[in-house]
Amino acid sequence: MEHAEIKKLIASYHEGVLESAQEKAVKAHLHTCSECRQEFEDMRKFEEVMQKMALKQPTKETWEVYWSSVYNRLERGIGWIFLSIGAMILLFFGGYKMVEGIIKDPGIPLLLKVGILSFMAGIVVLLVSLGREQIFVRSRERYKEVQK
Amino acid sequence: MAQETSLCASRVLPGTGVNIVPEETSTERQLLERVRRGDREAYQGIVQRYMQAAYYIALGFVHNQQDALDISQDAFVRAFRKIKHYDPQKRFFPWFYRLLKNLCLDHIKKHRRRREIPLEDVQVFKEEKNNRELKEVLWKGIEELPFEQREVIILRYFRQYSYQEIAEVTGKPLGTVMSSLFYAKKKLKESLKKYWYSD
Repeated sequence: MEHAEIKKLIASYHEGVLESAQEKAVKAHLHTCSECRQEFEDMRKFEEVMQKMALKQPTKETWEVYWSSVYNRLERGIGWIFLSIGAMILLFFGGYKMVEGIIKDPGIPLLLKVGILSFMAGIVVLLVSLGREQIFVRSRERYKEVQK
Repeated sequence: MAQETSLCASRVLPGTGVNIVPEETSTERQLLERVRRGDREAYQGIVQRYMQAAYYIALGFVHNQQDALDISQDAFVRAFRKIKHYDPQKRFFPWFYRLLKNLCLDHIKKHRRRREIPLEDVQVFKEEKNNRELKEVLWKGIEELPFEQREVIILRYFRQYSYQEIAEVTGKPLGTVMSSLFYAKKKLKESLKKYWYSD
């Protein structure tokens, strides 16, 4: 095997995952090539550093309350759904009653009625548009770069 | 020869007593069946089984203990809500891992401009004096890796997964995992070489 080919195999040689013939070839080459020996030594040092590295452990209490935090989040999620449904019903009903009141009130000038109704129609259109956009965004793949 | 294990084997992270990826048992499958029917109490068993793996993987990606905790818990909430999409014929953890990874990726995108890495919160060296400079070089090197290379480094060195386990969890072919790891190690080694031979 050529020097360049051997150099590529040094990491695998270090991990001990080479086939027997390749392993013998790399071993023999390391006796004669100082550059590859240096590469092997760097790989050994690298693995040594990486093996010593660890992520810091959290406190014991973190694990003790972990499930209750997840449970609370689950519960809160359901709470938000009910809250949103209730808010939508209230808004719809309140808006309907308000529009009805404005139209039926003879004391409000026609121009003001048109202004208020136009303002409310604008809010409804914007809310529908934003809602539709959210549904559209959610239905699309957001993580194209993540391989499944 | 390095021993390759699959996700079916239960192993412990050296020096911590923490299960790397717990073995999937028939009890777990029964729990998942109940979870699919909306049983929240059954979900407790699943969460407790995988919470440490989820937390450490998230910590590897986002380098902040509180964020890692939030993200891993959010991933469990999301998994519960989407449990109908989970195929019970397959292992739970690789499916859950995809949700977790997407949340981490989302977080990384949002906090791309956050420059300071609170190393003391994240990374420690076992059996050695606290070498801040070396930690910085290493962590900066990991930060600069493309996402798929960072992913294999985290799973390989912070979770001690075998190649086979990484392939199973990420859903990538074994060859792709090996090649990603090869290039990631090459880049990290270059960063370290500058540190080792800078004098």
